[in-house]
Amino acid sequence: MKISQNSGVPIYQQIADYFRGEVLEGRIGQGEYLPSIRGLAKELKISVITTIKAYEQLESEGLVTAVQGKGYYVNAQDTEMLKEQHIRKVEDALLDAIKFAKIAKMSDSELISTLKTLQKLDN
Amino acid sequence: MKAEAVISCKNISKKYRHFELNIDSIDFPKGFATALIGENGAGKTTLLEMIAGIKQVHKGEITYFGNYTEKDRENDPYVKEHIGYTGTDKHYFLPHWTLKQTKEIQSVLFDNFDGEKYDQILEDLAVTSSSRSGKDKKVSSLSDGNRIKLMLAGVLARDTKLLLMDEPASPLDPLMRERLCSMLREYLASSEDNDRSVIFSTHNISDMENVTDYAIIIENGTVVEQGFVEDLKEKYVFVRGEKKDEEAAKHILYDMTSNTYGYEGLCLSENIDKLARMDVETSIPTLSQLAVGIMRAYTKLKSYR
Repeated sequence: MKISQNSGVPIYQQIADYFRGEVLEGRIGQGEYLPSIRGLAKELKISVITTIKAYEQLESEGLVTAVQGKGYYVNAQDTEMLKEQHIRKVEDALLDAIKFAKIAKMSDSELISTLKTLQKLDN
Repeated sequence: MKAEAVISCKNISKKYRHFELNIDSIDFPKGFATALIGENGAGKTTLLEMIAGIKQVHKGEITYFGNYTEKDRENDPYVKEHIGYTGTDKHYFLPHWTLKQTKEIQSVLFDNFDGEKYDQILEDLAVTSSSRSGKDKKVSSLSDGNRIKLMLAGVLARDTKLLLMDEPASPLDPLMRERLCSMLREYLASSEDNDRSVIFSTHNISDMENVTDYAIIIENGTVVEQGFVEDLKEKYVFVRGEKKDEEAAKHILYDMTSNTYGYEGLCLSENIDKLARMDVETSIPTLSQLAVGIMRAYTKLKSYR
């Protein structure tokens, strides 16, 4: 995990993003515990409260559940819901693309061909 | 965020000739590091010394570890054994003591003092070296930085639940400040029950930000703001704006400084909508921006232009 102190993204957000990725991509499985709060704070050289805020965010998203005195474990992930979440991300990113295309006065076909070119490059 | 209190202060007051300390209520959260921030003379040291029992006469109540009173602190060894205090006083250890004697004295004073750990920390922090032991060095010959390391080694060599530290970072160089932060995070993480807490005062806010969970800002003897740092960062927004909006923004911002080109300062999040028509850039404040802004709102220093 790369934590940047001055990227403009709050540190708790960077930590939440990292563990969300780990959970959604299955690297931390259902029922497994996230690292202990104070242990993670020590490793990452950040305050305890920032770590707690990151974990609380993941809890509010329903990804993990807090157990008093034991920490946070990963919930069963609903694959339909996960797909839904990813589709929403795609839509958000495309809306951004449409906004900037307007500013740059790109035509619809230009925008679509750019998408296709990028897809080819990615594959 | 809610947390149990390791230390609770209620209606604390003490009058001096030119200064008065008045603390309505502070609950220092258990399992976290709390920073006391404030101008010189704001009352940070006085408060720490009251909690440590160095200054004993005052009004109000201090509760330790949930259920011990100040009387217990003096009579029940539990409280004394579980609190480690480091001060700014040059003569915390008597100047003519040797390092060896500081170890002997602490092992007499505290049942849970681990002499080997003490020696190891002093060696790790380069106060002594293994080749040339230096145990006969006198306390008076130590630099300010090494004197802090000596006190730090003393409290970390014991099995405590609370560290009270008055300005531990001030005399330390940048590398050692970083090390201090790591040692404090390690201290917090090294108990299975998450029941180790740290309370320190500091002027080096940005150096200590990554080991500050709860911040208490004291000005002129009273607490003017306190809270978990992540909550304070939501309560206030840091704003930068254009010169043309300065007059209008002045009535909305909590604190403002300006120059020829524009202004900047803290705004309460609840008031941020009032800036909607102005051209402003907002960001989450750093602890340093928060503390300075809040201190400036209460300072007796005259503003300068």
